[in-house]
Amino acid sequence: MVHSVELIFLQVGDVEGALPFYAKLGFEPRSRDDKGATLERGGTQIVLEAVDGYVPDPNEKVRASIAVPMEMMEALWDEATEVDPDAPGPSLVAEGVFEYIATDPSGNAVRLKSRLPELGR
Amino acid sequence: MPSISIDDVLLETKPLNALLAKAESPATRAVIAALIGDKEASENELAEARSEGGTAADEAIAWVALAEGDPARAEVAAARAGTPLGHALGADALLELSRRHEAEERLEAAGDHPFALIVRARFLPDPLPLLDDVPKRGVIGARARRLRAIALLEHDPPDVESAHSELSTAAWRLLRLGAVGELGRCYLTMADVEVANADPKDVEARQRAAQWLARAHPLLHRAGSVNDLERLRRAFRRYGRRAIDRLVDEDLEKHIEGVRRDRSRVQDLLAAAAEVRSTGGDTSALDAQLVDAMEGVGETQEQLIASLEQLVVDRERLGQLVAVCRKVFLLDTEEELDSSVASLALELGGVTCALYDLSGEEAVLVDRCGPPLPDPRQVAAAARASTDAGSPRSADDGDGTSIIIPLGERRPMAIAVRRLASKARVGTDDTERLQVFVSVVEAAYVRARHAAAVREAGARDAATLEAIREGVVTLDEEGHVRTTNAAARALLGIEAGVSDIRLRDIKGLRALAEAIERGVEDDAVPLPQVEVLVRSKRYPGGVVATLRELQSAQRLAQKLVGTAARFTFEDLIGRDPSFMDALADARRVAATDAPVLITGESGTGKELLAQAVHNASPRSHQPFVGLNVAAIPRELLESELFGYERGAFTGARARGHAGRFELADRGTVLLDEIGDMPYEMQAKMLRVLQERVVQRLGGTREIPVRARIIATTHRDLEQAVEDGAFRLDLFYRLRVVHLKLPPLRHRKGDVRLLVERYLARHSERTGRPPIQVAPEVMSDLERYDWPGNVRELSNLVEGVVALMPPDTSVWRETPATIRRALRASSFPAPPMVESAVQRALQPADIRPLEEVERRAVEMALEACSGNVAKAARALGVARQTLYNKMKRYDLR
Repeated sequence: MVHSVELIFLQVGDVEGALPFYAKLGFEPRSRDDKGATLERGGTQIVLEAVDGYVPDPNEKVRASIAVPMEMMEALWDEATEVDPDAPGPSLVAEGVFEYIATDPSGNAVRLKSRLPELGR
Repeated sequence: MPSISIDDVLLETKPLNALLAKAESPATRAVIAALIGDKEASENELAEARSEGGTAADEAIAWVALAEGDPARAEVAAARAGTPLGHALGADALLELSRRHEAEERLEAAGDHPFALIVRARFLPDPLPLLDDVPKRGVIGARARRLRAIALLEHDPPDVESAHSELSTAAWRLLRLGAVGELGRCYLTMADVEVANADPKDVEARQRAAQWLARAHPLLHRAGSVNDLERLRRAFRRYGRRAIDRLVDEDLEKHIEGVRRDRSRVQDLLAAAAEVRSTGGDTSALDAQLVDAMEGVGETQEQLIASLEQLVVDRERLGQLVAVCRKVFLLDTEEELDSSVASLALELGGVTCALYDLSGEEAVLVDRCGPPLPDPRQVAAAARASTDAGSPRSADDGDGTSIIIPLGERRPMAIAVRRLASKARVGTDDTERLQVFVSVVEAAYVRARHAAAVREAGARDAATLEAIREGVVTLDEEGHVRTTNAAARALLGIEAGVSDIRLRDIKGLRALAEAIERGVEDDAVPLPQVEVLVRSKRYPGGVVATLRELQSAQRLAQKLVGTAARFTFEDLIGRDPSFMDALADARRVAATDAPVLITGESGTGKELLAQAVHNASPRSHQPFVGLNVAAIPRELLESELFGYERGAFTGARARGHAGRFELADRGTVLLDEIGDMPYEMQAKMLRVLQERVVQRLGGTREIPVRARIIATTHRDLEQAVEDGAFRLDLFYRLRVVHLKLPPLRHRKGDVRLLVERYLARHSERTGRPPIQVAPEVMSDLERYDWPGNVRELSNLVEGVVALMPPDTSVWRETPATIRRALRASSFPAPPMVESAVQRALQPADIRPLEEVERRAVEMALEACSGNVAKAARALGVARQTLYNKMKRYDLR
């Protein structure tokens, strides 16, 4: 009854097309109707709202930030390099994370973050 | 399956740990162990490889020796190997030994081996094209990327973005491989990337660089060479001074370890030579190795001695610097600093020190210690230049050199220290030491200004504290009273000047002392005279608490908004399972801060439930502030919710006005009939819910929203979202917890319970004997649909008992409105209104026009799921007309 969740709202042109993308990030559908879908992973919910002819606002560079394990980030990067062998990979950030900007099928840029594993300690 | 070679290892893309178990050759295992930073395993495998012999063993020896920073040993082993990898490793070692010509020859022999490409790139002014040809995978690929990054940073201007990208990819691959040493080198280069294009004064860039060095340190300590640690130490000198001492210690350990290793190697060789000699064998090969080893011992010892000497010098100079800095700490005011800094700077060396104030157009000499400067104008100009650039400058006068370091931003100053060239050269280390001193002086100036401001603020705070209406009291760690204001003293019954008394030792104040020390947030605590709301917060050294008289806090909110939470769960009556479920959920959710959406038809008790949730929550001592969204004109809604500043609009109160969210403070805000909120207002509400701040109209200050939000509506919000009348995102935010109250017609079993409860309450209130209900009346009440729900039932009971003669104790007659409705509902064909009018042939069947109209409105609203626009269209009236009729008949 009582939920404490992080909510991410995203508009998409094609909900069906978006589901496999977010499934790769570990999000499973919780509800689905003609208005959209709610996906969940752990304490994070993504609410996908279906909008006909949706095009992301070009001024809004990143629509959401999601923490993922390195394996998930790598899978998306691998897919990107299949299309473009020189596709940029995850980027190191001084705070100790890899960042990777992935684009969902509706064109929303999503920032993925993975904490650097500690070797040598 | 073919055995795994060292070449395979260097191009492997999967975790090296897994490969370790698969590799058959000890030489290959030695290289893998070295790459993953397991030195002990690497040495053991190397010993085994050495005993087996062969080219792989020599390749492994050369690789491990290079990784440990021993190029001489690496070169000998690589030459023995004679393979392309061996030649490439040998060339790398020869370059380290500055034997460039031989290295070139060795590279010829190495051909196009990937590692040879990497070494060959070191010869080229632009190594990027050649590094491009190196395979992108494995440890080799990652190293090529790191070297590309270094080359990109050396471009003019540096290509920082590409360098960052190369290093990111290299680090990613190395993390997957688990190649510890290479990863450490990547992080070390990342530090250079962070500062490559940064302003020298950019502290954050230096901090980011230091973060990478901190990450590189454990990796290089585990798997790096002496050279790697030296590079790390130099980088720490540039980006993070504090870690230097620790690194110096670790370098010493490493050198000592090297001496021990070399010594045991010599002993082994001597023993082997003695054995060969005893059997009459040829010891010339062993003798050659012995000579190598002895040279190695000599070199390592020299390194150790150099480190020790450096350490002693560093420590002495450091001790001197610490002593001078301590003296700076004792100076409290700007005046003291102005008159002492120059003489203290001279304790670090030099003949003259001058302190300049550059806040005006002319450089003003504040103080000088030592003989006059030969060319004061030249030094003053350099002081100005150093302040403008934010970096040190030097001025040579022929006999000596003055080094000038800028100091301070609010009051630009500069320190100039002159040293005689014949006695002391101004070197990098001297400059750094002086810079540390200057940064301490800079901090001392800031502290002195701060202290002056604090003294002034202290007097102001004391006056402010006394003027505050809330009681304020501070206690130290032991619970002694340290500060009180007049309001606190009045509430606690103590006199001004009371201190050093423990609050708990004052009669009647023990509970308060315990609450304050425990840390509370608006807990009600009884005092001898009154009850107070206490909020306390710890700070280093004690705790501060505010005390507010309980009744005054609640009265204030009630006075301002006219609402109060009177009802509790005890007031919500019913046994119907769906109703009980809603109550159970509500009880659970009361303890949380989650927003709650309560839906249900008009009169089902939504506001009662909201009050009950508030009263059962930890916020019950805080205000409950309600607002009926439907009842407030849309032009006023925003100012009611968020408040306004003075002069925000014509007619605004001169002192401004607090909004409901402000008034509720840490209590509860009830947004009644949220479904009627204008669409454009919904975006503003969403911001409040997401960002938890409000801004008054005409104001710029962001006021935090700490209140819990409960919203109610009789509307079908999902339908409203679909119709585009309600925002989906706001709906989701409000509906974190959704409580649905069933209409009374769906829980008719509760009608009897409710009637009996209302009658009992009436008799309690009036002192009359309990009123009984005739079975046929109760039956009618239970059959009736109660379109106005519990509110209608409550009003009806109140109306009936008010009109009953005082001597009557039984309710025998069903009210006419209910009788008529029951008769109408027994008519067969819908639509009911039309058929009832057509059949109004008998006088008893005729119902007042008002009731017919009311039913028509109810039916239309029900058929249109509460959508007023649709219902108005169906009834053929304007929407406003329908709103008027709904208001008239109390329909929502």
